[in-house]
Amino acid sequence: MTKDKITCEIIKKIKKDEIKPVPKWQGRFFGILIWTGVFITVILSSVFLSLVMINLFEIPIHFFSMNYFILLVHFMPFVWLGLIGIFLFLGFLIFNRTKRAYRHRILTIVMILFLATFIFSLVFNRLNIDRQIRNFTENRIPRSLSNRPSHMVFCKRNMAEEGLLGGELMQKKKDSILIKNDLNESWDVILTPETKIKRKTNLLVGDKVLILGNKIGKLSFQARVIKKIEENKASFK
Amino acid sequence: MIKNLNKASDESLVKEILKDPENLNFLINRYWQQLFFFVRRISYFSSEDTEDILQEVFIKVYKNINSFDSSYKFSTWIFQITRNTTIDAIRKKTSRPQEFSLDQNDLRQILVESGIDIEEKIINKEKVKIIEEIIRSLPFKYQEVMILKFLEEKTYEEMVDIIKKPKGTVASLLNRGKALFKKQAIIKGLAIEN
Repeated sequence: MTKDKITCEIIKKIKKDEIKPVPKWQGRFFGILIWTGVFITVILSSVFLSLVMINLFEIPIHFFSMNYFILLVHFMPFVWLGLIGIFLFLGFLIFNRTKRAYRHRILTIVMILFLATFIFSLVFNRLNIDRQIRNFTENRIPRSLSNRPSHMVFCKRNMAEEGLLGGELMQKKKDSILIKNDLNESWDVILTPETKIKRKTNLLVGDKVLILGNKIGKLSFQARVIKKIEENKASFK
Repeated sequence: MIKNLNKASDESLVKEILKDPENLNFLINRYWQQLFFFVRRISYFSSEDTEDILQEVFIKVYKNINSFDSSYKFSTWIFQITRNTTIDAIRKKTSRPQEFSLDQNDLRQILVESGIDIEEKIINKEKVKIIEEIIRSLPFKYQEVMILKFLEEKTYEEMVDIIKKPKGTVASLLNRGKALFKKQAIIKGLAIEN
């Protein structure tokens, strides 16, 4: 077939099938949709990263004396880590559909997405959005998970040996407090000038508290950090 | 009165095509030969199959003409569409006849660019067969970058936009393609190892 004949065929087909150019707005709309998808996945992964961060850093950990596995099991909700991975992966897939994604290497795209996630997670942390989400989710933990706060869901019942004690404040003395844990043990918790009370709350008898420190005797504990467990958090039973 | 748009720029031609699809005729005249050779070089399709592919290409160009981004060169955009349509056709092919369509000048160009010195002015039939075998044996990703660079004389930036890969990847594919080609040429006695 000659070129002229083919040209006629093409124009004939366009007229016969009433082929029309795709409207500009459709292309732009699809582009906006893709970028919105990238943005949403970054925001969602940022939310979960900030949740992981508050769990990891809110309670100070004595790294040299704790087993790292126990550390991970106690303070890192695996489901949030998994969700960060899923949303970042989704964000990467959606980003690859943008017009000029091919100009960038995979590593560059992944690093940019992770950096954006990290920055947004710091913003959410500052605005306390992560705490609000955690409070919201922790109120809905099933009883079958022993009513522990989600970041404590894998806790063993007695962790005084590992430097963690939780219970109800039974008595306040000048340099110590008496704590009753869920095993009905009464612990004498020594307070020193270095002991920090999180958020400087005034501890009252009846408050549920979580204490980090060291076991110094059979039922004696020296406190480094004390944190009051807020209402609506389940009991330690 | 039909306007003569043979000397109009690509961007002006796009505007005229949007007003009247008959003006597509000027675009086809402008790009037909270049795209025809490009499709044949990367696909080994017969002339008839190549014409079918190009018909599809120009219809796609017309359909998507509103999404042409003027930050690209128009030729890059049309090459992009052509390449994608050709690859789809290659994937669909079952027993389409394949014709090797690189002529002597093309072969010589590839040899020279791959660093293989060939003194004979005419590459004889036997050598043509060997070179053909070597090129066919290369994975498609190396073939297409070598054809785009050495035969279509595209810049790296244009190649990035046509095959939609980052610049580093394109450069890497080209170097590896040349190295593979040279290695095979040495093995088959076309060149001496230096």
